[in-house]
Amino acid sequence: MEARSVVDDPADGHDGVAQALQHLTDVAVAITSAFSLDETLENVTRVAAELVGARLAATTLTLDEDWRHAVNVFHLSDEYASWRDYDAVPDGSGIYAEVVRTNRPIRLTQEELEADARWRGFGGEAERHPPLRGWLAVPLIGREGRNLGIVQVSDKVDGDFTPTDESLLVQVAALAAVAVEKARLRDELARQETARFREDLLSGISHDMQTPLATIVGLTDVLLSGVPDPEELTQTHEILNRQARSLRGLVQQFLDYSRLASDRELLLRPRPVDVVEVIERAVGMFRHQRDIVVGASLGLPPAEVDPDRFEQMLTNLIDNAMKYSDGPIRVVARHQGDRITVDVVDEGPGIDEQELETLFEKFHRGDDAEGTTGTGLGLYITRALVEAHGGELRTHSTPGVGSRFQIRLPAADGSRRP
Amino acid sequence: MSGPGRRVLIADDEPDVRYMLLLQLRRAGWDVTESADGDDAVGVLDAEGTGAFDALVLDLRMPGRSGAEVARTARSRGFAGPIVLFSGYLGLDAELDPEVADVTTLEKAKVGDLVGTLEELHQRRGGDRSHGE
Repeated sequence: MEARSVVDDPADGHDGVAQALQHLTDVAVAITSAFSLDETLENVTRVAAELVGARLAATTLTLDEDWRHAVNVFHLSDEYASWRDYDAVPDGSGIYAEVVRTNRPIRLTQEELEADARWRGFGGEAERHPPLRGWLAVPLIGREGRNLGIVQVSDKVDGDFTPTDESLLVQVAALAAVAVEKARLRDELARQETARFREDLLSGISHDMQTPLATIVGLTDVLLSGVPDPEELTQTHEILNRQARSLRGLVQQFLDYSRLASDRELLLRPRPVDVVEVIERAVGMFRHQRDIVVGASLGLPPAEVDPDRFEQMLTNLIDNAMKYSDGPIRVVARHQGDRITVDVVDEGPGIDEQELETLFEKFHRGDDAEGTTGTGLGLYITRALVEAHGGELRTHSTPGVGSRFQIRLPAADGSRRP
Repeated sequence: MSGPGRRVLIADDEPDVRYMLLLQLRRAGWDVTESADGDDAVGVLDAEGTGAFDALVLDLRMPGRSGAEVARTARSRGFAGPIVLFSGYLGLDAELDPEVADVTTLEKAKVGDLVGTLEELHQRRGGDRSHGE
């Protein structure tokens, strides 16, 4: 990069001013449109170099003059290519610290710099530091006059840094300070949001696990304190099995979530599976609580799915229907072309269009979820599971009538209807 | 220690938890009446009177009336016996109304300690059946 100063001194007259304004607007856009703090700093540094036509530029962020944790971004022209790995952390003993401390710009020719009492060379980094040729540094000043860091340029392509360069760089620094504070705020908000999600998830996990754990511990206590009568024993065993399976399902759900959260694929072992058998298994987890009707078209072929994951999808959908409705639930399997469809239908209040859009987002919980429990992961994971099988999850809902969740999965090979 | 005729009303919308509570309390000599949710529990209290029970064991979160609401209703009708509220949520004490502040709460995971807690509260109150007004 060999940039002349893009804004020359006022000799250029009106055109020069218009051009300068145009450039400042571009600068403002480049600096304020950056998405992250890193990108903001890179843009600020590049723009500072281009605007005053300097071969070297650096932006440093400090927090309350804490130099050990300073963030440095450098911009070096091709002449300085061999210094591109320069990464020394400033120790606060140089003249730059003066700019941070006083919150005032410093502009010096190389002779002035070397003659300045505050200039003490490059300290311990003298061997590695790129050489300077003239120096202009302006502070980054945040709200309430607090110093955020410094923007420095050196080695102007044409001559020495001018008062115009200085005032341009002050403008850049003003924009940069706003952008830095905005980016920091955004990062902080994102951090808080992640922390809140994690907290919600943990509280959801602990809640969902408490019911099966309490039931299992309570019932095993009963068994240990004496044998119940045969009828009680049968029911106790059934509940222990159901609650242990529910616990296993929760663990599976969190493993899936952690795979999805780290962009790894879900683990599936698909094979031809009897659809009604799996539906019955899933429904068996809820029959003690709700009337659930199972229907299937005659001669339904097997589906090409992982049976445990298929059961997990159905369990999630039925669990969802249980949470958001009081009436009967129907689970109906059909054969359509090369697909097997399974509908889970409830007679609940239905879902309005706006909510349908966010329904499958992780941690989503319905407005009517008061008094219900959960992590908000069920539908999110179900959709991921269905799609990992090459299938689709469709929803249809009529407010006041009920909702239908339809899983569409591949039928096993050779089961296409003639 | 389990005197005859001690009656407890339990309310939980999770049938498996309810059954576990039923077996535990029965083992400890309690005569157990079950309700499937808060509204159902209030219905039982309406039909039999608060004086019919020595203790209430209520899930804090249920569809319809919550455990805390049932407890408040019972207290407003003169029920003076122990009420145990339990919940799967942590930090549930913060949700309790001062009007039912003498209610004891348990985390759901510790529901296994329920019988002990109930016995202790029952003893402390002299083991008398409290009569509604």
